[in-house]
Amino acid sequence: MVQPTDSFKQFNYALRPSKQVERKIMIEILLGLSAAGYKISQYKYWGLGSVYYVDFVMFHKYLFIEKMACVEWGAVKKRMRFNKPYKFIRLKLGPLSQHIPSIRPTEKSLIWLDYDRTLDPEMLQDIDGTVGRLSRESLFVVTVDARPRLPKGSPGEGLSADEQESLTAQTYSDWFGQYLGRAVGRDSIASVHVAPLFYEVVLERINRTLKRRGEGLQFIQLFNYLYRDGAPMWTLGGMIGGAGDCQRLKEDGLLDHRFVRVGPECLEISVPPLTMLEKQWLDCHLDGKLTAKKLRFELDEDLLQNYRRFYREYPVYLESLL
Amino acid sequence: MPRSEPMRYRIVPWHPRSCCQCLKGLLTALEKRTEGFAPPMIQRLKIPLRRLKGLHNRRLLQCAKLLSTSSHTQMPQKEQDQALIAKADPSKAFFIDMLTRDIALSVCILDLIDNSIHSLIAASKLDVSQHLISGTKAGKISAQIDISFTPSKFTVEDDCGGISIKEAEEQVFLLGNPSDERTQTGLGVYGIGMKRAFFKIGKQIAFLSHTTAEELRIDIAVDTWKKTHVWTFPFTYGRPKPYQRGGTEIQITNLHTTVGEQFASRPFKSILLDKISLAYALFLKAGLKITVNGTEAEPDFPELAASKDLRPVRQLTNKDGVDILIMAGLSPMADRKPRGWYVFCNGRLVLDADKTEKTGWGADSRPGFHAKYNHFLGYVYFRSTDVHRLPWTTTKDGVDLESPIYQNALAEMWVLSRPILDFLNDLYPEVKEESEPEHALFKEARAIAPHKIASRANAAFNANVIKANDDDLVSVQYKRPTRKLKKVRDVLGRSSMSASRIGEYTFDWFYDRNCK
Repeated sequence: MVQPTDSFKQFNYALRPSKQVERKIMIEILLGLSAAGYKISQYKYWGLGSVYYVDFVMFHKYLFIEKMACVEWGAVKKRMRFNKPYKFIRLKLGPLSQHIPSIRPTEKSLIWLDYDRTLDPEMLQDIDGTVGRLSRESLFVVTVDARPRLPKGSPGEGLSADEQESLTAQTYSDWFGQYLGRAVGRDSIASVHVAPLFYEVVLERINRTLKRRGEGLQFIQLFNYLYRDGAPMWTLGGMIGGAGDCQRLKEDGLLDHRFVRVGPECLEISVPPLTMLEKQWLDCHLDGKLTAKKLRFELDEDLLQNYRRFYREYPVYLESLL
Repeated sequence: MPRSEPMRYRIVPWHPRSCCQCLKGLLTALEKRTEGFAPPMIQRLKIPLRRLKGLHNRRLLQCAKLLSTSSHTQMPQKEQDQALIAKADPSKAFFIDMLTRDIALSVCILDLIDNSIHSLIAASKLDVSQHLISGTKAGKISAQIDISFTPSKFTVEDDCGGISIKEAEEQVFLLGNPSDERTQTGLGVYGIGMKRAFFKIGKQIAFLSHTTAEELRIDIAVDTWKKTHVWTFPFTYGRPKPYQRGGTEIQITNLHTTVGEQFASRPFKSILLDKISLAYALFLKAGLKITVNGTEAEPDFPELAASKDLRPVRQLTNKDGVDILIMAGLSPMADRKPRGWYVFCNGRLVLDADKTEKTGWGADSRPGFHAKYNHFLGYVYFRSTDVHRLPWTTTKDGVDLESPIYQNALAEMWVLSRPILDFLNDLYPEVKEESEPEHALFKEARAIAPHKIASRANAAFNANVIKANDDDLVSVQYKRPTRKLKKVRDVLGRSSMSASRIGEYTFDWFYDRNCK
């Protein structure tokens, strides 16, 4: 079994601006679903926690969700209990596989498998298990590290970069070939991220599971994001629904939302690091005509465009003396 | 007769006095008259002729009459094309060969036992799976099936209720069962097993059966039957006669050479007994007696290990009218046999200790079977009164992998069993000392009969492992040459220092310099 990576020890989860933008985007779309008649506030949220519980707090504050379960695998039982922000969060210790059987197929759920490692067969089993149990109208989201690398502790450690690339391609072929219908070549994993490869694999896994269920269910994709606060992280999400749900979302215009991604092209979330003053100045002057040349400080044109896209979701952090 | 003026024949309502031979004569006459002309029209006549013969033999109509008209009317081409019919009659020799080609002798014998048990279920309303699921005790069955064989004769005899003349006439001997029965959790599905067993074993079959009110006998000489075009088996007799209890006896002689050889081999009896002990374990536990050449089969039912801190998973669901009971956990530490998945349909085992892709091992991103999973033990029971919904194959020694019911059950089997595999992964880690709590937990668990778990409420697998505290002491063991230890003692100037003390001293020395 792949061991927990404890990435929360390296990052303060609240201070990852791109991740925070992703959370806010998702909330915006989920609020759109609420407006379309899906009672998101009554859904049960399943998240893979960290001691910061950021997504739990945000989903409670902005989506009004009160039924929550946090699955935590690391050896931080006491910290998890200590930091639990709300009493109603049910803490479920141990690996996710242990808790999948307790997902109720009769209850609408929002489940976010927010991993901090790259895609592996255990995750595909988790995806199969959860998607196999989620009720109609439930929402399923998965996030993985999109770097082409093998999990920690794999035999590739200590090999040269070239040897590692070969080993990764071979391992990915063994793991994912059955979903892709082809071997994974070195060219597929040569780039800095492998989101398109993971997209094909995860989508095929979800579709196979739904086909097996034979209940006329389909995966109505809403999120396909790539963000970086260091490592590139890729997120796929959507609704487990029927043809009626797809029609309903189309009619409500939700599938045309600027942050909804229904195909393989992912939305890249990358925001520039800005000072408070820079942000305020940009917010005051931002319009369709503002270019990098007109700024009173240095900022690349593409970063300006990114900021223009996500300025509403851009997080502001201040030190507070508690 | 000019080719452009084909003759038209008309089949008129059957006449009670004419017979097939009359029709054959008439057809020959017609063929002569129409020599070299309009073959489709002749074929058109030949097909009804065969149908007539079938009808004649089934006694539905005694005879028929065919008249021809002499009107030389022109047939449209479209009608001529439609009159063309491709022959699709089955060949008995091919049918028998294909039916028996890919099935083992022992599996055929189990087919005959299935038949007996099916009669028993019909007569006694026995439902072993239901008893397992609901935790109720099945009333003790008083029934027996005796199998005996020599290199020249095979017999199976039971007192399971027998079959009536009506059943023999209309159902039991049909090659393929169109039965739409949905009232009992029987073992008869496709209506092919018994006949396949006949053809597999020998060439002369005597089928004797009696209910409490009547008796019947059917004798089949396979070689003779093969040469005829009829698909029926005539009764030797079928008459009223009172009996205390119904039963059936099948005697097969003139055995096929390879079958006789297998019956002559010593191991065959024990192989058959082992298969019976596994396949009918639930029925044997309920009181059914099955003997092979006088030796009684004992139920072989592997048991799960359980304790208050190690609890197997149990889940009962219903999908499209099929009850699916899944139970899984670990086999007891003392059980040295590699286990796997055991799949049952209506109480009959169809997959035994499976470790292949059939039960998901190594498929769909799941792990393949490995020696560290030897103690994995899972049961899946499918139960339905609609036997066609169950995922068994015609030979009942496998599962229908394309069955949606099986595919969904398979997904559920793996969702439920992943925590068990996680536990086994922890039980056999790279560093043995790390798994001491798991080993202690496993050692404590005791064997428990499956029905005791089956009757509990749904529960996930639970292994309450108490991991070592950071301050708990762990042994660090390794071996080094004596000469090196001597040298360490010399350097330390402590000639009487024990090996274990040297180990502690050197560990602490490293720790103080590098880890503090």
